[in-house]
This record gives sequence, C-alpha cells and structure tokens, in this order.
Amino acid sequence: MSIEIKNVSVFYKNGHEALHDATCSIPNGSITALLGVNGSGKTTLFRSIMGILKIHQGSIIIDDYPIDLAIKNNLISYVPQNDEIDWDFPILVKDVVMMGRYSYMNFMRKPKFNDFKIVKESLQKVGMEKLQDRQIGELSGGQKKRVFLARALAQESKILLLDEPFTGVDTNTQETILELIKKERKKNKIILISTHDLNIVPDICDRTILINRTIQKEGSTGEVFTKENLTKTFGNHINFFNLKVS
Amino acid sequence: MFDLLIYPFQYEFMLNALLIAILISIPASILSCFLVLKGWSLIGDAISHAVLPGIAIAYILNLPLFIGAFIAGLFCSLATGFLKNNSRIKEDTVMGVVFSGMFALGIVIYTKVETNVHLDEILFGNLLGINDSDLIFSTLISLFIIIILLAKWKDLLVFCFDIIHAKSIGLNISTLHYGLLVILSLVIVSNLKAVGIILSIALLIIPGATGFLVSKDFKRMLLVAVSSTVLSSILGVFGSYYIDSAPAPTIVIFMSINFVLSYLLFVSNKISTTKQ
Repeated sequence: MSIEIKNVSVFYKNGHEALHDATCSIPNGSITALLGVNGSGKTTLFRSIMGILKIHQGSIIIDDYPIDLAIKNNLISYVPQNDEIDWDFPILVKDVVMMGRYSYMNFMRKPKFNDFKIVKESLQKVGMEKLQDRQIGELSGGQKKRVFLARALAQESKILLLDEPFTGVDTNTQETILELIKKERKKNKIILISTHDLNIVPDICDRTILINRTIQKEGSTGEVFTKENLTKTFGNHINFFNLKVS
Repeated sequence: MFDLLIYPFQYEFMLNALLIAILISIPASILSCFLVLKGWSLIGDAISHAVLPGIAIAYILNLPLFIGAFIAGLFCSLATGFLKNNSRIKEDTVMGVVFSGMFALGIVIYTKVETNVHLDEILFGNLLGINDSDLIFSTLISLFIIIILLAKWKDLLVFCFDIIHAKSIGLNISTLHYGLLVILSLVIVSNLKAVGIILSIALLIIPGATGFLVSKDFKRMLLVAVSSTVLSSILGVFGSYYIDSAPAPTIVIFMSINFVLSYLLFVSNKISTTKQ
C-alpha cells in the first residue's frame, strides 16, 4: 500500500499556484516527514490528499484507489492543527473521539458496544480518559492535540496524517504522540507528519520529503536529511546546532 | 388565577396563535443551533429578506405564496454560494449584496401590484389571523423538518464542527450544505404567516445563541434552545393579550429576555469558576 502523488499542481482561486508538478511516493509501514517553510505547500499537499482541494493537474492514488474511493473506504484519518478548530464549540472530549467512529455506524450514527469500547481505548492510549467529560475548550494545548489523535486512532484507518502535531504541545504530549505513532507504524500504516520541529525527524522518521512549492527531494531520511538539502529548502536561516543531520 | 390563564383562550384565534407559535418555534430553534455553530446566522437573515420578491411574483402568478418564497429563498442561497465561489468577495459581503437587492426588488414589485395582503403582514406576520389550513401546513412542515434534523443531527454537527473530518469519514459535504439551506428556506416559509420575514430572523438566531451561552455540549444546547423558545412563545402570546400588543414581537421580546438571563447566568458562572 502507498500514496502515489504524480505531477500534481494545485491553483488557488486568485490564480496563485500553491503546488507545482509535485511527485512523490509515501509507502506503508513507515513514518514520513513533510518539511518546508511556511507557505511551501505542506497544508496544500495534505488537503489535496484528503480531497479537500481540487487537483488541477496530475493524480493522487491511494492504495490503488482514486481519492474519492479511498475516502469512502475510510482509508484516511487526519489530526488538524489546533488553530483549525473552534474551541468554544459545545462538544465534549468523548464526543469528539466518537466522531472518529461515524463511518462504521448506521444512518443515524448510533454507536454500538464496540464503538464505545474503541473510544474508551483510544482515550486511554492518549491518557485522556479522566478528562473525557470536559468541553474541548477547557483543555491545554497538549491535551487538545491528544483528543484529536484519539479521534484519529478511533477511526482505525490505514493512513494517518498529522499536521504540525508538535506545535504548542508540552514535552509529555510530544513523547506520547511519538510513542503512539511508532506503534501505529508497526501496524503497517502510512504515517505522514508535517512539522517545523526538525529535531524529531532523524529520530523517528524513516523517510523525508522536502517541499518548496514542489517536491525538492524525497527518500530515506538518511539520504535526504542532509545539511545541503535542508539549506536548499529552508535557506540560510536554519540552525544546525544540535541537529542530527546525515 | 386559573381563569386568568385560560381566559384568553376562549377566543379561537388566541388558541390558534398559541398552537402555531409553539409549532414553528421547535424546528426553528433546532435549526438555529446549527446555524449559530456553523456561523450562518447572517444567512438566515439574508434568506428571510430575500423571500419577498418570491412572494410578490407568486401573488402575480396566482400561485401559493409559500412556493414563491421557497424558490426565492433557495435562489438567494445558491446565488450567494455561486458568487462567493467564483469571485474574491467574501461571503458576508456577497450576502449583503444579494439579499438587499432581492428585498428591494420585492418591495418594488409589491408596490406596483395591488394585493389584498398587507405588506406589514408579510414583514411582521399575523399571528392572530391563523386559520386551520395554516395550522395543518405548519404542522406538516415542522414535523418534516424536526424528523430530518433529529435523524441527521450527528452528521450536521460534524459538518459544523470540523468539515475536513466530515470529508474524511466520507460524508457528502454538498448534500449537508445544500440540505441545511433547503431546510432553512422551509423554516422561513413556515414562519411566514405567523411571525413574518423580519421576526423570523429572531427565531433563527436567538434560540441557538441562548443555548450556546450556557451549554458545554450540543444536546444541552438543543434542549435549552428549544425549551427557552417554547416558553417565550407561550409567555409572548399570553403577554400580548394582557398588554394588548402584537404577539410576534412580544414573543421576540421574551426570547431576548431569555438570552440576557442566560448571559447573566453565564457571566456569574464564569466569575465563580475564576474565583475557585
């Protein structure tokens, strides 16, 4: 299983080309880092994979399915950035996680025993079972991220997309997230993380994709995560102190 | 005391007014919760105004007024969506252009044709002029809307909360989007005779806003929205009889009082939580 992105271009309404002729392949059983500066097209690529943005050229094939069918087959789960969510929304932690189970439920989305069980397990995995009756706005930045990770786990899909999962979270949460995605890798899933935190890349990411409006480099982290490549993508502002580059 | 309570209802028009006020307030307040959460309060406002030319044209063509209103309401929401998607203008601006244009067109047509329906009645409703066929019509529409909203509330909630997740679990976003707009147009049409197009806006915004203020979860929000609106409807109809005013605006005043009370409750809760 893999995500095959071939010659993908995406334009915004104002004519701006957010992604140009992007080609890369993301295999299963691995954690892939998607790295690039702000505005480099990371979120555009994520949204294209999720079928939110229309692709103007090229194709994205997920596990031999076009995007629409991949979504219908519940292949993709997504952990959003914290600022994409309205935290005043009147919804409890456990209800957010239950939303991950909707694709398994009937027309009225009535949960069964198994759904409650999986929601409970997912909350336990991220250490949030005691806070399950809180409204989501009553949580810290790290706890908020855990809730959405629990929802993605409850969804039990083969692909896990994490958009900036380490931004605004405490060290404990970062550790929990890292441990959990390592476990998910063992289940042969495709895991794609976009991140600004370059330090975690050599430790846990098997593969790295460098993006700057197009895919600049892709391959094993050992090959791609080099000083030369990173300087090309991020410019001279990057601080290599303490960074384990190849 | 009991006499005081039942006295107004020796008149059939008062009983009909009370029944229809309760009947339309339930679907409107359920819908209101979704509109407030989706940030669509203004769309309710826009469509309410935009039904006017539909009513006027339906009158000229000798069609039932609600059909014209429904088509105009749908046209407004589709035109807004089209202009937003095909230009750089933001949605609230597009809505302002579309609905004020349609409202103006409605008034111009209305002043050109001689009708037996007074403009005030369309704008502000005529709760005391409700007949049995209005009651049956509103009952059917209300039941239909309540059933749809309660059957699909979870899908609509994901749609309002996190549209990307809604997409990732395979929900049909367009169906939810346009489905909600169709229901909105239907609610406005069923409110028309009772509270008119201007006061409809209150029924589409205040219940959700009141529920939102005091609720941590959606079920409670729904319960607060519906119960506070039904209570306001009862108090409004009674109150209007005793102070000799029009019932529809009296209901809206009670809804506003409910909102202010909820706000005070929310503020005092917040202060006591901060103190802890």
